[in-house]
Amino acid sequence: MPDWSIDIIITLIKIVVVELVLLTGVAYTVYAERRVSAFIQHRYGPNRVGYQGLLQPLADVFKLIMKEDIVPERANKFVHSLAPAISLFVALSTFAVIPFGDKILIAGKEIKLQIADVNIGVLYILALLSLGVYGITLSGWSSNSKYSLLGGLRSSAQMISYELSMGLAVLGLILINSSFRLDTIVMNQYGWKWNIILQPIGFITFLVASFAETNRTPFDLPEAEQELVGGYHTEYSSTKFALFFMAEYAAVIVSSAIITTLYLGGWQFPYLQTFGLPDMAVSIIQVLTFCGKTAFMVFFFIWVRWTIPRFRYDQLMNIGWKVMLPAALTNLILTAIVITIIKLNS
Amino acid sequence: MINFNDLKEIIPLIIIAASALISLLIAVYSKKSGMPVYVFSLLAVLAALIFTGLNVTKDVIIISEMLRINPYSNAFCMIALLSVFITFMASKDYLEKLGINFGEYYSILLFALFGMMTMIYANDMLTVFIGLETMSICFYVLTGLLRKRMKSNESAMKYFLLGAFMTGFLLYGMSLIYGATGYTNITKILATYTAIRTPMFLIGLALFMIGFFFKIGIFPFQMWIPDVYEGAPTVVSGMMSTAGKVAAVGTLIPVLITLNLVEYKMLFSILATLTMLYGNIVALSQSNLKRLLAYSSIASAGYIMVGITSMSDLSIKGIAFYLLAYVFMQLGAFIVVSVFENSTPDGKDFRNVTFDEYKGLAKRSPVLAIALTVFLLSLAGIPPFAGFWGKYYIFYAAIKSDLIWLSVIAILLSVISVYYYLKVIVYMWFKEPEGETSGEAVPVKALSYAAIMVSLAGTLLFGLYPDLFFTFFKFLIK
Amino acid sequence: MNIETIIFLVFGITAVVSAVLMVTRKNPIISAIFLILNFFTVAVIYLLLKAQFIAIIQVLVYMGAIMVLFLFVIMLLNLKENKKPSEYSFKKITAILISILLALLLGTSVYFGFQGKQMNEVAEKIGTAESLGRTLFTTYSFHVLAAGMLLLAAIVGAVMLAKKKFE
Repeated sequence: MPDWSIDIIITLIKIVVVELVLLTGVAYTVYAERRVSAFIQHRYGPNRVGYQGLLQPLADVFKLIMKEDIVPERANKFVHSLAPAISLFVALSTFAVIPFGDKILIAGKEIKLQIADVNIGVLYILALLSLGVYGITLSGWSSNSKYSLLGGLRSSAQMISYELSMGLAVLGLILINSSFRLDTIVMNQYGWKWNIILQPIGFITFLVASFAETNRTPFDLPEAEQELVGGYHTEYSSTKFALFFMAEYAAVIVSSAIITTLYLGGWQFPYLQTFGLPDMAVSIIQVLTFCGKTAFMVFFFIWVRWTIPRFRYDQLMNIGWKVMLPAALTNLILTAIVITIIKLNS
Repeated sequence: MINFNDLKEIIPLIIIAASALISLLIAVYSKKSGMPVYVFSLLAVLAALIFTGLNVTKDVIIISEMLRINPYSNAFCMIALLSVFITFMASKDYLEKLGINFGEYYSILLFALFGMMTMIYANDMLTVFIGLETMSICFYVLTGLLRKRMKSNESAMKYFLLGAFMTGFLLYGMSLIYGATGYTNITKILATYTAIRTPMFLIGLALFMIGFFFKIGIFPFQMWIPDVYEGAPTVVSGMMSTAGKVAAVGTLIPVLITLNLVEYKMLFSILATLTMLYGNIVALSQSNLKRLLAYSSIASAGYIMVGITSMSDLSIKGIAFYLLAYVFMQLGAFIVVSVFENSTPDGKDFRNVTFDEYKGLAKRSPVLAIALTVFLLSLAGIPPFAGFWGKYYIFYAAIKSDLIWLSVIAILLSVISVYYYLKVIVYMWFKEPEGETSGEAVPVKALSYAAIMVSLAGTLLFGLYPDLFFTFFKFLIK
Repeated sequence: MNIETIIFLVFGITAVVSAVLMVTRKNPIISAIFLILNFFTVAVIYLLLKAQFIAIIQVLVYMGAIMVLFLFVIMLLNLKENKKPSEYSFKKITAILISILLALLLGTSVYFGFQGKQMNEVAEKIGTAESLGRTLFTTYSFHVLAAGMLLLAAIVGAVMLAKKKFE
């Protein structure tokens, strides 16, 4: 077999594994959300299907697929079906550039634990996140319902506003690492040199913007139940609704993974190399570290959702433009100044 | 790279850029009175004018060959600065009258000026593009400044859509030129052009020129001018028709002269003829003074085109002089119109801009009437005013380069133009005033008076002593 | 035919078709969607030209920001579909003819201008973020500053024209 076909097969295997893990993760994030919310509200949550309700996600999937697929009469059918697909596509394909571990050696071949190591990884993530808004906006428009439309409009305004501060927050990181490559960014976070310590303002800005980009509480205005019924997915049912549902939780996982990679050291386990473990064990620990950090961030997302109330729309815009943007800009300028001073001294 | 020595060469540009930013801040902190920002921007333009004048003979290419400072570009820059200076003088009273005296007006105009100067100094197509866009965007905004008037909004929208479309042409032309030559640097392109006169280069050049012809107002791309100049605030129309034209011509001419496209002389002549024909003939049937001046601006674009067609050093000299004279007379005419102009009671439309309303102006305000008469006669090309010499030099250059038939047409058409200019003069001097305001003198504020007087002085001075211009720019008669 | 040619053909044809559909659709939202598709295909063509940075910026800025605003505005305007049957007027036919002629003219001149030329090594490296950034902040530093002025002027102008109450 020629060399390049092996590479293609390896990449395909990586894709399949990652997506399977991601989708399973999505199912169990939904379950986790229900259990955690129940815990926070002193309830039981789903505990009947399987041990402690662990098979609940499977039951949910069957329920949703069995339902009738309703398309509103005057909706634009094509766009109506396109929208959930866009949402899920964007959420799933973002994972392509995220490194979930260092290299491993299998049968003498070095394999990178990352689907695509592109040199503009950060930009790729930002670009795909910025496309996520289409799913919501188009679903809002195509449903031909005022609640959906309002949800869609709110989300496009919200996402555009927060994308800016998100991008600017990341620029601070780019200045430090002088690379758009995610691999390099993770590599530079060895020991305790995590970016959350180097870039606290950038981290907070990025975190808040991530909440806004994923439409999670306290920024879930596009689907505010009290005002908009279900927001942009009011008119969706069955599989298409399931797609939106999956897209939302996939976005949460992906955002957590991005935050982990950019600010929490990615797969780096502090001082792991000094323990003198075998290579394979090191790799496995690194992957598990990555999963653990991501899981913590997912838990954080859920935790915030059930603790903090929703913003009002004008508050949302004020925070976006008058707090987040100046904060991100200040962070950028401060970082630039500090880097210049360090460079002048050395 | 920008290094410190380069910055010394572009002090005027830096002054304008910095004052555009500072005036924004001044406008924010002195909302009550428009005076500080007004005085500041006036002084800034004056300072830039003086600095350019002091270094007029510099001839350098700086900032990674992106800017070219030479006597030609300095001359065109000074004319543009002068035009904006006079516009600033007249702006305050006019804007207060219309209730749109925002401080931001001045900074937008300074931004536009920055664009124009960047464009004129440009030695790289990218510089040209950024300068042109800065200027155009500011012009779109200034056109729509009268936000409550349908006419103003319509003209801004029209200008913006057409302008954006034409920018597409310009940019496409630039990319084709880049594709054909591999350079964006104008000097390098001009140095290698003989070798690469491929179809792609020529098409690129054509598209590039279309973008500029739109800004100057050459025949098939002139349709926006009357509507835009009519809807825009009058001083802004005056500024656009003078400074805007100076910037576009000043950028295009050095390129065209160096390219020396002799084999396309016929095409240029036809464009010049059509432009002059269109401007002069359609102007005959106008009854609104702002529209009339707009058509006369098309006609003068035609005269400039005659100069471009001749493609010699002599014609640059002619064009530069014509543009200088044009700033004084066209801007002066627009300022007189702006002083006389008023709003309708509901504030939705212009008043006192049609010929009928100019009846008997001489009896009400003789000074205004005299000034307007001088400006119109100068536009018509009657000696001893500056406009005459401008046309004289252009036509002389055309005859020197064997374009006798073109100059004959141009002269004939400027004779026709005398008719419509005289019509206004007849209305002012020989008709009785009508309406309820007849007999009252037109109120003129001191600053507007000063602006009119400066324009008048310029028209007369350069009419009586045309050599002044050339002794100042000695380089031009080398 | 190698894989790059196939990708180019697929995306090139999609680009042209989506551009035509963008113009001919009656519903503005559908037009906008086709425009987004067109931007995407163009981004892929940039990738083929090894200009990754430009490609991703195309997606980020045009698809991710500008077109979202377009959609936003179209939705707010609530435009009705143009129900009038299309007329084949003289204007339309001349417009179509002229645009076909222009396309042929530009196409042939560009085709013969670049026929048989290969990308050289310098061009292949130009598209990366590193080299682009270096050029932008050294050779073209003046343009970065001037573009800043341009954008500021545009922002101030937009506020002047659009703000409800001025002063």
